[in-house]
Amino acid sequence: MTTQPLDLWDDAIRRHDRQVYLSVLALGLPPERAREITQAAWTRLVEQHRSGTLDRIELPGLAIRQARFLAFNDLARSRTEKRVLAAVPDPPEAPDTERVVGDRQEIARVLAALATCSPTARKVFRLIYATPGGTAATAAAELGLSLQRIRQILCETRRHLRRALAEETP
Amino acid sequence: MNRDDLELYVMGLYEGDVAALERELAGDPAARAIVADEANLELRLRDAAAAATFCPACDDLVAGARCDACGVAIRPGGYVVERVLVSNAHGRMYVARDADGAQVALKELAFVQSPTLQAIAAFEREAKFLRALEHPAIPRFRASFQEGSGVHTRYYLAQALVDGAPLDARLDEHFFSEAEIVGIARQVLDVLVYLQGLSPMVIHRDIKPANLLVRGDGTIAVVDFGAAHVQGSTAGSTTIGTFGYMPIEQLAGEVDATTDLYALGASLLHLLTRREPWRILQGGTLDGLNVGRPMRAFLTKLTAAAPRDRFRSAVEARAAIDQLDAPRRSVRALIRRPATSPAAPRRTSRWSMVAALAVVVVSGGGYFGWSRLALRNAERASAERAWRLDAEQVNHAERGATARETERALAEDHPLAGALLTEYIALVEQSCQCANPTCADQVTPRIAEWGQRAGQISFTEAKSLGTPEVATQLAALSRRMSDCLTRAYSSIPISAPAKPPAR
Repeated sequence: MTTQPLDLWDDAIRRHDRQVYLSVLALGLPPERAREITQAAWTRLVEQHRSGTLDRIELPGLAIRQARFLAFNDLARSRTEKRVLAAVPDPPEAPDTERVVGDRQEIARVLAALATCSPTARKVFRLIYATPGGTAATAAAELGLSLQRIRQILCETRRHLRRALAEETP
Repeated sequence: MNRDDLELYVMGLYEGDVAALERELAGDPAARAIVADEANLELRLRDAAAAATFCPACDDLVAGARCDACGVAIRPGGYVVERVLVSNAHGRMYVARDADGAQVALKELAFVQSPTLQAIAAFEREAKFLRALEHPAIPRFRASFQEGSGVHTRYYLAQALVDGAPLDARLDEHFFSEAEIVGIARQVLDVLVYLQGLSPMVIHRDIKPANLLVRGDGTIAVVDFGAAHVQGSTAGSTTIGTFGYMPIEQLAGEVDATTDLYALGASLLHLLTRREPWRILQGGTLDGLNVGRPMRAFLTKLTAAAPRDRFRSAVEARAAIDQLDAPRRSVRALIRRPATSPAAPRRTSRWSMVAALAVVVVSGGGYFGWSRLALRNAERASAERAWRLDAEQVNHAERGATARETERALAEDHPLAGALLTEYIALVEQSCQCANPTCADQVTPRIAEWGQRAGQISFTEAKSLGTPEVATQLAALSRRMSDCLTRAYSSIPISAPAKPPAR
């Protein structure tokens, strides 16, 4: 059986949907609206792909950009959400050098902090964050640990990394 | 709704009522700001994870070409290492992916770990042979290359990944029946026929169970051509091989067409008896071996001490095995196995036979008891025929019919056992991937194999039949079947099996 484009999109959505949803949620939208926007972003991409207007498909970046574009439009239209809109930054027009350097420094800080974690914590982190479609359940199955234990390890690791980010931030 | 709940919600781990929490969030901008903050952190962690390189063996963060903690290579020659298959003093074997996403077995030889010309020569020899060989049972060559220089030199050989396990690894959990041994011998001999048919002839020189991989579909692959040799080359004076499997003349560097045949014979003996072959062969005779006479003669000729007494070529051995009548004796060989060793006398007393039967019955029931339970009123000859399940002797339809016929007979005699067997067949059919709609090709041999151990199937074995869910069900069924048979046998008088029909 040959792989159909729709199958490929299904697979892409399965792998990256959570990250796209989080990127919309990070703008302060209500969860339900964030979910609708995420869905709309995927639908737009599939349609654009069908009509051949997509030159390059880099996921999840493309889907995140599309979703955030829709989210900002939504926020701009909604008068009641003006307060939230004021709290979130505008979408960057082009990569800002200072911002790129800042992102890199953040990544370096996270990785330095991760290096000090236990091997199991690193494993859990890799299985959940570095594996497309990775969840606590898949990590539990892979490592032979209970879901509860994975949850515990993940929360501890996340707090450790958050502290590392917060401490170093000037 | 506290911060911890919101954190768990963003992580996708919130165990409470998600819908209720989302409704609350919709009307609470402060809580949404926390969620936005948590989601931002989540995205930053994902970005960091995407930028990181984790060691495939120890999960340490890697900055260079190999892991500082364990030394595993990360991306040698453009192959992305996924996991470490084997690690020993000479190097490692990785499972890696090439640029097209295909999985390969990537062998690594580190000069610093094995600084001998012999090891490097073996590595290069294997690459040379694999490049030239083309057989479905031999992993296809992909590439060979080296990285680093001086003492940091590492040699790599990429070959198609064989998704299977070495035969010696199965010894701990599996009794090889005579029929299985014949099947293995046939497949390995096919490879040897191919190697010996090349010009010049290629001799593997290291045939042993560890180098025979059995794939999921039961086919055998011959691996590790690091010791291979072209007849006539001067390298033959070097002693290469594995003690216990190689013939005595190989110690002196003398090899010919019979060398691999001897090693195959020794490997088959190991699989059959679960004992080191040299212990058996030092006795000089295989008379005590608990197999049919033709099989014994075949193995004796394969493992003859003098090369002139062995089969002259793989073609000759292949022809001989086609005439073997071994699988039909599998029932009796299996019943006798627990009570006799290869060194024991051939004639088995009535009492030892009964004792052996009792052991089999008590431990969950044996194939013999199973067939007697099912077909106790049938003629001995037809019972023998019903369980004659060798894949090469009976066609698909007949075997499918045989399984169903047995099932019907069993259901009449013992409803619970019959129902369990029906359930078992359905499960195996459900898990089977073969193209045959009745699935007889897969089902009947497995039923025979399973029936032979009657309820002693392990979860690991069951796992090879299908998904974990199917495996769990099979293992549970197996236990129920075992209990059922034990109860059933306790009311049946035990007697020695009748002789199989004369051929």
